[in-house]
Amino acid sequence: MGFVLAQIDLAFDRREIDMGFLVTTLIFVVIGIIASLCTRICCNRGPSTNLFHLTLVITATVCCWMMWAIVYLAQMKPLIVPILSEGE
Amino acid sequence: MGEVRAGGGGCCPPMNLFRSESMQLVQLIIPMESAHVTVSYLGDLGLLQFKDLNADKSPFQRTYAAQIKKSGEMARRLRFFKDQMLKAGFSPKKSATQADINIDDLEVKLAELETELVEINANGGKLQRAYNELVEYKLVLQKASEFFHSALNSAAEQQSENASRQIGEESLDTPLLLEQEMSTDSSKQVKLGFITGLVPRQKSMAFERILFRATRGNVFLREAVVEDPVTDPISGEKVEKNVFVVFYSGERAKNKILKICEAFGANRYPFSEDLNKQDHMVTEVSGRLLELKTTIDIGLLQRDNLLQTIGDQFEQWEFLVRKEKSIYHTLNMLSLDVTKKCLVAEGWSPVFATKLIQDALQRASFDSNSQVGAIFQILQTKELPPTYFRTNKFTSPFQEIVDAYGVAKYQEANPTVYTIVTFPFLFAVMFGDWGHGICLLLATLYLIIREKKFSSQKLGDIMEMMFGGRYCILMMALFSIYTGLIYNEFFSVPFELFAPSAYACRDLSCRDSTTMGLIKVRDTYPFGVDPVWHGSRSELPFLNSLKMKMSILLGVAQMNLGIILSYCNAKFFRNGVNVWFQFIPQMIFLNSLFGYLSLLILVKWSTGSQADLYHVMIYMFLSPTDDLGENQLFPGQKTLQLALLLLALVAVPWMLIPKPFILKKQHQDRHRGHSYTPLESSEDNFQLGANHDSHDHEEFEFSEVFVHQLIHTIEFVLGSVSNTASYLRLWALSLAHSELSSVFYDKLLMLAWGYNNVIILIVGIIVFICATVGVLLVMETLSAFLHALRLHWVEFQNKFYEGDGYKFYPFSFAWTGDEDE
Repeated sequence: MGFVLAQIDLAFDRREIDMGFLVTTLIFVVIGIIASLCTRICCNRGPSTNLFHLTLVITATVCCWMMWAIVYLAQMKPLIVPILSEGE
Repeated sequence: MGEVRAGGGGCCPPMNLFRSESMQLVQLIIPMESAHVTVSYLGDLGLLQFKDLNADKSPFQRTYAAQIKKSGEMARRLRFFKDQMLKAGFSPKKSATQADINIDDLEVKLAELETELVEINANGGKLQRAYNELVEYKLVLQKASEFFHSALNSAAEQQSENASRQIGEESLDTPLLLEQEMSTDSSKQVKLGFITGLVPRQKSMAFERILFRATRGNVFLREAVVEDPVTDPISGEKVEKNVFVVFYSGERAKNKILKICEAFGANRYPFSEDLNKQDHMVTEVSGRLLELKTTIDIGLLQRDNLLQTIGDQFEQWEFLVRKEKSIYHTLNMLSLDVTKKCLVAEGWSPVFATKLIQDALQRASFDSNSQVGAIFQILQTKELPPTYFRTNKFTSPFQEIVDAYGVAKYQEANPTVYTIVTFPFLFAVMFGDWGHGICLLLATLYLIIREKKFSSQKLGDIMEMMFGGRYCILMMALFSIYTGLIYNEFFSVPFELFAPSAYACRDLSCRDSTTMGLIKVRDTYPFGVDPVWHGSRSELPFLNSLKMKMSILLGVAQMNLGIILSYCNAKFFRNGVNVWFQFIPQMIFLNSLFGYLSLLILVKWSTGSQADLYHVMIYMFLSPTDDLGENQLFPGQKTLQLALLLLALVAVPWMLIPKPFILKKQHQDRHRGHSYTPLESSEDNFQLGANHDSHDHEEFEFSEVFVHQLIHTIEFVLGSVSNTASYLRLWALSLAHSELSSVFYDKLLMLAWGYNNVIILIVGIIVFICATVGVLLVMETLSAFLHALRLHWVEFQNKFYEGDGYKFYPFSFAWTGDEDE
């Protein structure tokens, strides 16, 4: 997953950075941090369990972020536009 | 070596569930007198898997064969009680009172109860049989007397008619001879014998035919149908029967008939012609029937009382007997010391349980008043320990998903850690609809809230499975809601939840919105798919392109994770060869082809380029030196492509060739070195001499290793193509799901709405709900589940997971509960 992150960074170095993308990514990061802090505070059961919980939270956050990022990027510079059907 | 493994190479700090628990082979030397208590305590603890040290002995040669036989007998008695209780319609109750009962007392008690119950049953059976016989007899009496009555009447009529005829002189047309015969007949009056009884209706035709043939027709059979089925006294089953009366002449015929009756299972009953006697018999039989009935009822009551008292304590007894049996089974696995005063046990236990086991041993020797305590020591071994993960109710369904593919090798990286998230996530990618997600969430919340109740009762197969995986379903539902929000589908209906749509008409009149399409006027829709796409003519091309690319991106990411885990394994087992000649070339190969494809997708999206990615990828192989022309996405693309292609080509022999040679060299080095090193500790070698030898002189088959590596390489190279293609199932299934749900919405709900008729609307809603639940929530959930399962088992786990370990089955009483079901 880190690989994809790097790839996206690469893509941004070349073009102007979309603010919306950055802001929402930041929100994801913040949510991820809050969630990992919550698990740390709520169920603190030794270092190895904490690491396990942290891994879960990070994996979940990365998965959700990836999904959102893919959909967002796909709509950023659309090649096709919505064409309404005749009925409407 | 076990120690080395347990210590592990430090690739990352220890994480729960990522590696199986480190195990140790322990040896216990238990004094004979405290053996039973010790094993019982260890079973309560449930953290020790005993090894069978008497594998070469048959069950009868073992030390505690007699005790096992005894507890087997007790278990048989309990099963007998259970059968009886089931027959009588009792169910064993959970007794709250835990009366402390000795196993020896229990044995005596069970035997007593059994003899009592058998006696009651035998008496009851006898009485029941007598009762049934009487019932049959009564029927015979009724039917036969009817028959005789009518026969007598008709005979009397005939006689009177004959008499009147004789009186009234012969008319011309009456045959003379016949009349004479008849009259002589009545005067002679041959005495006919008869037999009465009951024959099963199915056999009655055959019975009649055989009688006829055997007696050459010199028999007269009369049958009367008994309307209600009769209980057969011998078999005790309800059978439909006929009452019969056979008339015969002569002793020989009688014998034949008796034999035939026996053969046909026809019960015979005495019957007298005398009317008075008949009446007498009927009253007598009725009286006795009544008497028997009350006796039987009393017997039944007595039996019920007995069963009730058994049922009250049945569970407890059963548990005790099972426990006893499993203790002796375990004791049989221990080997007898030379002095015959001690038992030697060997087994696997997790390292963390050392203290607990020692405590249990101490308590046992104290409680059994043994003079010598048990000895606990850790053995060195090269054997591969069992795999043990400490799971809880949340992680166990995911661990089971992984275990269903193969149990992890000892201390191998456990995919469950990631599967807990990625499995529901990939499921949700295919099941993205937040309406359906909420339905799933409600269903699983019901299971979770009533967890206590459900876990105590027995559920059906499917329900059991759903209940076991309730937390997995919960995660699936949560992720479905998330991906549903991303896809912007609520039962296929989009909502403008996060911002107004980014698209608008080109001008005020909105004339060309159906030909040229809308234009993007605002920032991109911030979260998920823009609602304007729904129902538009370009929806499918857009969603297909999006979902297909998304599948590839997610797939490449997950496969990379798999390869990284193989690095963790190599690091953990200190296997440098696997890092340099497996992990690195694999990474290079996958990413120079499909990582590059992902990069192209992202670049295309962020630049809005028109380049054809298929064309780029295909011509990267076919003619890598050609100019890219309009398909160029970024400067220097051609050079990069050439470099990547070369890297990919180099990675294949890199994976294939060096590893077998290095393994061969390592083997030779180890072998040579071994012959010079002095024996480290003679004690160790003495203890596991046999084991050591077999391991160290293992032959190194170079050709085998090479072929293995060849297969592995081919599998990876071809697999990286086919696995990436396999992730396209994410696209296919999510497309199918959204199309199906939109068809149900448009064609059922909207169509019904259009009629402006309440009844049609209600029917439409009902059909819509049924279709949604049946097809989308049940079938689609199953298919998405299976596809997510496949993606994890094949595409993800084949990158790093060996899965050839064996599970840790500790000796525990908690497991004996549903052993024999």
